[in-house]
Amino acid sequence: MPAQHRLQTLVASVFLLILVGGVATGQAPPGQTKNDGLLRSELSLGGRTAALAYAPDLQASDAVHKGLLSATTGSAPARVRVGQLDTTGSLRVGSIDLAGPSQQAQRPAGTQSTVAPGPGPAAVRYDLWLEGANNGWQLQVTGADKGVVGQMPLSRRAAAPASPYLVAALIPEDSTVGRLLLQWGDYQATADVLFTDPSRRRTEENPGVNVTINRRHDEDTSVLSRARLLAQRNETAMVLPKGSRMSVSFQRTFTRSSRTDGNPNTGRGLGVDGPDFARLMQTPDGAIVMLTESSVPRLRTEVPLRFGNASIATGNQVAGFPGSYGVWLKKVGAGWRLVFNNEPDAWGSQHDPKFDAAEIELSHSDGHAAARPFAVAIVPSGAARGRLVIIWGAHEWTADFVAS
Amino acid sequence: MKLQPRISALAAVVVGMMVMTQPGYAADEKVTYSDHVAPILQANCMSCHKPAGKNIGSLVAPMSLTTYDETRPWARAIARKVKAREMPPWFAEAPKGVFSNERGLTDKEIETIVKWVDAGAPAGNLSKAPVVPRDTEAESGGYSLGTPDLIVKMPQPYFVTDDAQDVQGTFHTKITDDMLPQDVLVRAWEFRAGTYVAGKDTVHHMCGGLRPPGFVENPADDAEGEGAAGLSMGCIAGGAEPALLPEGFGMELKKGSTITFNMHYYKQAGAGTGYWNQAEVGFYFAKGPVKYKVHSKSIGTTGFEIPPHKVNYRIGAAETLKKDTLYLAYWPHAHLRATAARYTATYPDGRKEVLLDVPRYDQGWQVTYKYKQPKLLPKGTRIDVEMLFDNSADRGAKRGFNPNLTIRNGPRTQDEMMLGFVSYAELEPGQEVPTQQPQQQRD
Repeated sequence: MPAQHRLQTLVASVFLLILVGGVATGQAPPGQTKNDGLLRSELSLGGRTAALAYAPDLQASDAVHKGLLSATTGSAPARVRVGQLDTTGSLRVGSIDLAGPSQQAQRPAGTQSTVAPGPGPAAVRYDLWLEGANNGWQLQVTGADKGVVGQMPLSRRAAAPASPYLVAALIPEDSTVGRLLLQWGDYQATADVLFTDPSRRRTEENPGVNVTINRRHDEDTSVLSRARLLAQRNETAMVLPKGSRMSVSFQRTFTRSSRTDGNPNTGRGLGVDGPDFARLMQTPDGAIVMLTESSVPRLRTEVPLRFGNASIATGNQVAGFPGSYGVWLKKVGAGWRLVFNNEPDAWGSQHDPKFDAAEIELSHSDGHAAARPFAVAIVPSGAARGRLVIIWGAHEWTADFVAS
Repeated sequence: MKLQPRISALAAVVVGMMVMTQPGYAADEKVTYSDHVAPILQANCMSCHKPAGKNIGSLVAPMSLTTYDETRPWARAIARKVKAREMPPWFAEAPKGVFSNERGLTDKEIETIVKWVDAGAPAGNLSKAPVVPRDTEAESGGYSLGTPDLIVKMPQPYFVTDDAQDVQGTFHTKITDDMLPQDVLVRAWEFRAGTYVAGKDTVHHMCGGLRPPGFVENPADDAEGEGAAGLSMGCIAGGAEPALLPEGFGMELKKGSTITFNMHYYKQAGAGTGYWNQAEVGFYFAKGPVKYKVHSKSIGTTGFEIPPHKVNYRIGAAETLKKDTLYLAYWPHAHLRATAARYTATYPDGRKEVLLDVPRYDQGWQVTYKYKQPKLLPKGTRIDVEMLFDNSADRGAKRGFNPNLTIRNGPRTQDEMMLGFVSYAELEPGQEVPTQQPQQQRD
């Protein structure tokens, strides 16, 4: 890449950074709606959230990007900022360690004092760059001071079909592990994403021994509520460039505690060693897959979605409220379907067909890594389209959707 | 007063009331307080309606109804409440006859009270009125189970300030060797919330926990919930009662343990509304062998989201029993928007049984439903807990909440909870199941 082009790219990236705003630390926690023209993929595991934001119009055919996307990148080295990564937890992307916000800052100090709780963890922001390398791509991460935090090779492989625009997604793989997926032009590459600090409990409610929290009756505690939600459920989300958000929350798999007395959630969750997974492939024809150790996954969408011919509306609970559905796997003949139900907070053993709203076909494959706990991912595939992916052990079920 | 004499006295009163509460007045007989109403009140009301601060953890019953003078001003309200079956408070529709603390008046008893009020609430010959049961709580520091063998208090008094509205905190008290020189088994524990201000909101609820010596909280542990603080001893809120475990059931209390007090204070802010609080828990040691170790936990969820203005919003949770288990009690806990609660067992053979059905849940009455005989549930039984919530403007106007908000889990009274507490004992392989009616007496 000529130096001039490289400089232009850098300038454009810096400008974009300024546009999307904010200093590199202290960003608002992910999960809050934004309207900044960026497409987002969010992954929350164990109470920590990583959000990947990128411009939805990064064309593979753009001359600036061609150096990255040609078959022989070594002949035309290039460096392109592909997005920003906000994280509320310490994160390892491939071999690159990214520091999260200080845990200590969340805990009020003092004893026998009355304190107001903080707004929850702020995110730390990083920039992601792709650089051409002889064997494919090099992922580079820069921090607030624009200094390089780390870099690692990404082995890319052919993507089918090709992706005319950059698509980036964070996909859950395990209770603390996800996967960064980059798809661009004829190639795709992945890197493991691992939250490295302890999973987050509801520390904001237990600030310390002999310390109290004083809240007003009408105080807005939505940030704390979200932290509580993410203490029990993991979540994946996609945020459209205009800020509309769609998410799926699903039960966290809790590790078995050595002190089990009185613990309501010990050992809960949908791993592949539990009774629910054991029953999965014995699900009778026409029956819902029962989840006795999990609530039903909840789909929440601020815009209407279309899965094939099925419309998933907003306002199904009350007018003006985002669409909120429980999503249930159903075995039908040799295939699988997904049932959207109007009781999004039922437990996975409490499906009531009276509240079913829609049903769609699912594609199913079963050749994947076998140990993955149950998860649901929303994977962007364009500025207003995506794919719902249900993951459990070696199985994956998928359905494509378009957002209105 | 130790427990046994008190229980005996109570039993005598209850037996006496069984005879006396049949209001055998003739159709033209004048219904009076002394002859007809006092026995009903003694048998059904006075366990809560005692002199202020000496009843059920100091959380309920704002007026005393132990004498005619105390009762007369409330006569019309009493008639209205019993006619509507709002008093005595009991909210379970099913099952009937299995809970030891089931409350309720017969149609005849209600008719008696209404007739008495319609007649002007006459006293009758007060010298013939049944003797008011001795106020044993006054003799035992307010403990309804008698004088505890060990009382553990919050480490120091805490002042809830005038400007406070909704305060949460967890206080720890380590049990010293002077307090408890050796490990013991306890058969009962009773919370005293510690603050009573007539007509004012004070303690919304308190939960107790037990941390054995050497307990270290592991920040990497994914566990959450009340039990995360150690062994949960359950909670008390308005309407709840102390737990005397059946004979043979108990909890281990090791010397050097730490007691945790999870306190929730709830009030309106304003000059002069502040108060001091120092909650405590009284332990009653088991004198005989303890075969079954009792635990408490909740089957609940924190991941819900109730839309604004939504009616009949169902939230569920479930758990499958990993061992044969004896259930002793249920305490469905939610806040202002909850309208119904249900526990259902699905047995390994697919058979279903409603364990508890509360079709009209009232946050103001946090009733614990205690079995007369522990309920045996075999390994593999799934317990489903479901609650319904009403976030409508109509209910909001009655209960004092804002229906325009999306409601999620939270500790404030204005937030919501969905917790199906249970007290239980897991059976070890080969352990026998108690077949006798447990005696509600101490060794």
